[in-house]
Amino acid sequence: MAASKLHLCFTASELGDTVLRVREQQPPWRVVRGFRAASGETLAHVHNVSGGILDRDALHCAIELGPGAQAQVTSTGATRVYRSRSLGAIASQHLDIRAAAGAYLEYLPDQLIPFAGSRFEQTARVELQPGASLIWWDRIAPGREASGEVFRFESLASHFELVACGEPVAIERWALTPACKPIDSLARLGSFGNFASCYVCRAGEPAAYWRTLEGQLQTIADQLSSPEILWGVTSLRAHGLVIRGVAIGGRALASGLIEFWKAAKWSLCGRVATLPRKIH
Amino acid sequence: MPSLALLRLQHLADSALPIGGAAHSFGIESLVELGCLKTENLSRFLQDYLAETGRLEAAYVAASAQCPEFHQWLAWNVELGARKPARESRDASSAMGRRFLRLAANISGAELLAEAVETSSEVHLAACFGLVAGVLGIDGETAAAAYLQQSMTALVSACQRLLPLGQTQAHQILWDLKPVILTAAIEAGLPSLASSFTPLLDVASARHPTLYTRLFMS
Repeated sequence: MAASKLHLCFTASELGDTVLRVREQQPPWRVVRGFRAASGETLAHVHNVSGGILDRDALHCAIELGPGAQAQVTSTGATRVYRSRSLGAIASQHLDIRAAAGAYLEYLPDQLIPFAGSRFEQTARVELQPGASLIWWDRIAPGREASGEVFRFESLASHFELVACGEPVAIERWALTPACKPIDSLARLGSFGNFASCYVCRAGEPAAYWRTLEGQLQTIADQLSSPEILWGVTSLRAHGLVIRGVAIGGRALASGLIEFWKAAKWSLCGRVATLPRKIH
Repeated sequence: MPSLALLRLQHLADSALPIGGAAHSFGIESLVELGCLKTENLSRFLQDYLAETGRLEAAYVAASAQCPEFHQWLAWNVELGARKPARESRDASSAMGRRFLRLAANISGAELLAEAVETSSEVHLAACFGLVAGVLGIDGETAAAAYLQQSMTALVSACQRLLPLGQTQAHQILWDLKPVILTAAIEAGLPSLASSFTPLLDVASARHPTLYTRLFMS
């Protein structure tokens, strides 16, 4: 599979709604048309028609939001990364998001499942102009847990960079090679196989706002935490906060993220979070 | 052959330096409180900590020791702040960095350090340590190893207050960590490419402010 591109542009219309324009769409990318979500954003489902990420796939996705545009982007299902067949091949996915002043984006994909023998790297860069808001989550499973396939991928690497008002706010860069570095080390995941992050940001919002929201969300984190799942909430160096969770099972992480999303959305824009409609 | 620079580095790499290191556990207190970290798995934890956080910080120490342009050094500090998600641990690194820089500038009289002290920008201990080492004429790998040695000594000291860990056992752990420290220092790459994966420690650090009783500030 050669490199394939998806380019989505969300623009606010004079009527106040947000219009999705698909500038470029190459297989296996397929975007389900944007329609208005109950909470006001234009919702787009991004679909991979090949059913997952294969061997030499190099997927590129760009999402642009114009001034004041409001969008919710999700996937139609889990991102499965299949076993790498070619010697040394590493499948990749690159995501580039830009949100103009006053834009609002929710990026809420399903979990990533790296299959046994897979090699995959993902990069994501999010740039927020002043006043732009973001709720972003990602959730990573250790493999096909139901089949007892846990941390049997060859390599999984991620580079995430969040920039607000021109300055780096959060940078994650990690590489996992379970055969070389034990993932169950206490310094990494301990006995928790699944992990998730949720970034909540608004470029230009002062630190005091984030400290208050951190306290509110930490109360939820305490309520949702148990010996099987742990949540923590903490303010970033500026413009936002991150909620991080580790869990023995993936389902509890998924339902926990929804609770944080509801609370964060209400705080950010005073709107009720409505789950995107999906057919599973 | 001993050198003046090396003696000065030993002085500044002392974990008893009054920069506030004894007040921070960088999330370890929460791991102990959660029942995850125990005396018996402490050594393994620190080895893996060095392979993740240790290598990340070593990269910034080594790069900063190679006398970069001042604006580049400031940018690395901001970048390092963005790579530390947990507020308390990030604030601790920043406060300790500023105190370390001020102390080193005052006792050394170095112009570059005095200039660095004046900056209002965010600074972090790893980058400050590297900058000071560079001014002393210490190479990046040596500086990174000294920094990690200091860091491990401080963490083991914190663990002595949190766990049933005796003096001899603590020093045995520190002694056994030396080759791992060296590997982390030697293999530290470019700061922008340094990898670190510590989600459980991030969660533990984030939960630290809500602990019922706390010995440490982070």
